[in-house]
Amino acid sequence: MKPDPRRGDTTSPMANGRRGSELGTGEPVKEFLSQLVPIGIMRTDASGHCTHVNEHWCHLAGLSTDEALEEAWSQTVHPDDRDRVLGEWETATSRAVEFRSDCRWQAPSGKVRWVATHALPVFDGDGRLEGYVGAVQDVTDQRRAEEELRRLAHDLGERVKELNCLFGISRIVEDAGGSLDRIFMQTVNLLPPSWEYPDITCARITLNDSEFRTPNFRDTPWKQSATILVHGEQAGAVEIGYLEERPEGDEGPFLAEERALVEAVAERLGHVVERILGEQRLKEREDELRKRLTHLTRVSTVGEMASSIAHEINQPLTAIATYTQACRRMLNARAADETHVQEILARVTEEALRAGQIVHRLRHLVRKRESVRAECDINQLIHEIEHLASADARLHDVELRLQLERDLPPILADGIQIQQVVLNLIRNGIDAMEETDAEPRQVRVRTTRRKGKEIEVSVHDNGCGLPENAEEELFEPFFTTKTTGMGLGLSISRSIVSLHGGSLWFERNAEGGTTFRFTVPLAAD
Amino acid sequence: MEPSQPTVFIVDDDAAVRDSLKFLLRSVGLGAETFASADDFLRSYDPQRAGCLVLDVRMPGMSGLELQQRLWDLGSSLPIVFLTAHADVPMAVEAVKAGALDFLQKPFRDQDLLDRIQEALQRNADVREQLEARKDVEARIASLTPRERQVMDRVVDGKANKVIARELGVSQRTVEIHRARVMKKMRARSLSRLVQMVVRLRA
Repeated sequence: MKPDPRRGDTTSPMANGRRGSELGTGEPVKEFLSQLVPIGIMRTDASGHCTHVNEHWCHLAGLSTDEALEEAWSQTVHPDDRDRVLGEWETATSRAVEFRSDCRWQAPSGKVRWVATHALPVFDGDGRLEGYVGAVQDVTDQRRAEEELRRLAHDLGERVKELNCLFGISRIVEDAGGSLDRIFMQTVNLLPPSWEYPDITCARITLNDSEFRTPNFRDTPWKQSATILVHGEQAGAVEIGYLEERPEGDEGPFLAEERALVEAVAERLGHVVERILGEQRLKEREDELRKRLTHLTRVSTVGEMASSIAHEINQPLTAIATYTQACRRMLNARAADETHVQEILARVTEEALRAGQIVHRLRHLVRKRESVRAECDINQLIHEIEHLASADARLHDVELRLQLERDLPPILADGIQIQQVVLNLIRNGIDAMEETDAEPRQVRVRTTRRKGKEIEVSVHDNGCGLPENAEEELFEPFFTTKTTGMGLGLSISRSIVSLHGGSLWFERNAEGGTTFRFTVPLAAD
Repeated sequence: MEPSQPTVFIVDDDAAVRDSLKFLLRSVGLGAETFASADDFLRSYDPQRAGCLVLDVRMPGMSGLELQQRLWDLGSSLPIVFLTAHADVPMAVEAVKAGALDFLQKPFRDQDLLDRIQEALQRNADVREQLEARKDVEARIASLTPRERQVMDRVVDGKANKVIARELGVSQRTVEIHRARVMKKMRARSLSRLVQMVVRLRA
């Protein structure tokens, strides 16, 4: 049902309140509408030439009506879009179907605007294509908004890449366990995906004498870099390069965001270096302090044994003095035969060496030294301090007994530190029996292999036992139940053992006294 | 009875110290025997043997001080020279208070030790001699009759013959005869000698 346009009031179509579809199709109405609505309207013949345009169309095209009807409408299309649009138009007209296209129009004045064209084919009574009726709408603002949106989306994408990159660095730092090499190696590989052309992006980070590169890194003419500052001093640089030429951006082929990112990465790395160096320095100081304290405790333990040691050295000295005096008497009395004297001299030598051994062992034990881990035999270590420990035990009228399991596999340890722990536990055991009449007065040291992978050393005494609340304080520094000593022995012993990957604990014996036990893992499997 | 050759008994847990001491003592012609522990010594202890003990104060097991106590309990008269390390001086002082002859700090001058040992051997010889004398006196007393013994006890207490005669209910003459026999049996040349003998025995 086609409405009759002539039925409408041509001067005031809106006044009768009818809807558009019922306004009719008469030319005056169309003219009226085409001028009222900000839409360019065109009619073409079957060949595509304009046969009718409205005023708005002319306004959009920047042409007069006559010019518009003279020229092919396609001439208004921007040269960059023209081939595409003509192709689309031909496709549509050859099939006599609806035509839709977005393109730029360029007015003779040079003004460019985006338009959306929508045209429908018109047929005559016989069904032949008569031409097209088209509507052209100015979508420049819409386009601009879209472009702005796209730009925003792109910017957002860049920000996300940047944030991803920085976040990635944070995660790397967190997982690297304080290794700068690992952090830098992983960071350098994180950089290319954050640049606009990841496939042709290479990166290099330098720090002092170290250099970290992506596998594809090479020197290129298209590069940007940022300085890594550590405590205000230039310590290295972050460099990004494109392996191939790319269109000009804000800084060579690079975008302003990429400049910001490379700066941000350099700054972040600078902070990371500062933090890790700080942590390392702190750890070094802590290690140094621990080392000194460990040594101090060892020296102090030996110091507490001074009288035992003096006694121990005194014995061979006494023997030497007595042998030599006996020898002189024999010689003076001309009562000495040569073999006799030879024999005595041999014994003197032996005793001198014995005294030397004691001093040697002692110096070995109190020497200041770097901690060295090596494979060692726990039984051998205990035998080496047995002499010293026995001397101390004897002086306190205590017997030291060793029950060492044979053929134990080696442990990986700092031998002297392990000896320090054993010696400390033995001394504690001896001290615990100072004020008790318990029999037998014995400190027993045992070594055993514990299910597969570790050695257990236990030191058993039947001394006075530990006070009720000892658990809480026993391993605290400066806690002591004795009148002598610094109260560092057990605390240091425990830290030595745990640094060796073992543990140190104690048990109260049912029959009285205490047993301290510690474990050390075997060297290797 | 001929006194036996004295022996220096050395007890020290340190083998080299023992060995060197034996050498030293033999170099001056003294007999020496060594023991590694107090128990070892006690096992072979013979009260009849003359000599002295050179003893380390501190030893595992029974200490020197404990051995000193044990010997005292056994009634031994063996003089003891203690050897000590510096740290054990207080113990050595205790030992001397408990009757030890002296103590020496290790290492020592040979002459100091030999002097102490000579002194100890001399003391041991004296003691043994006194002991012999005592036994002799005891034997003489044992040879007295009960009446002679009664008279002697009263004479030694300083009582006059007249008093003794009254107490025993005999004549003064009889007391005089018993008294002469006592003097003879006791081989006492004078009254004061007799008193000395008996009083020393009573002590």
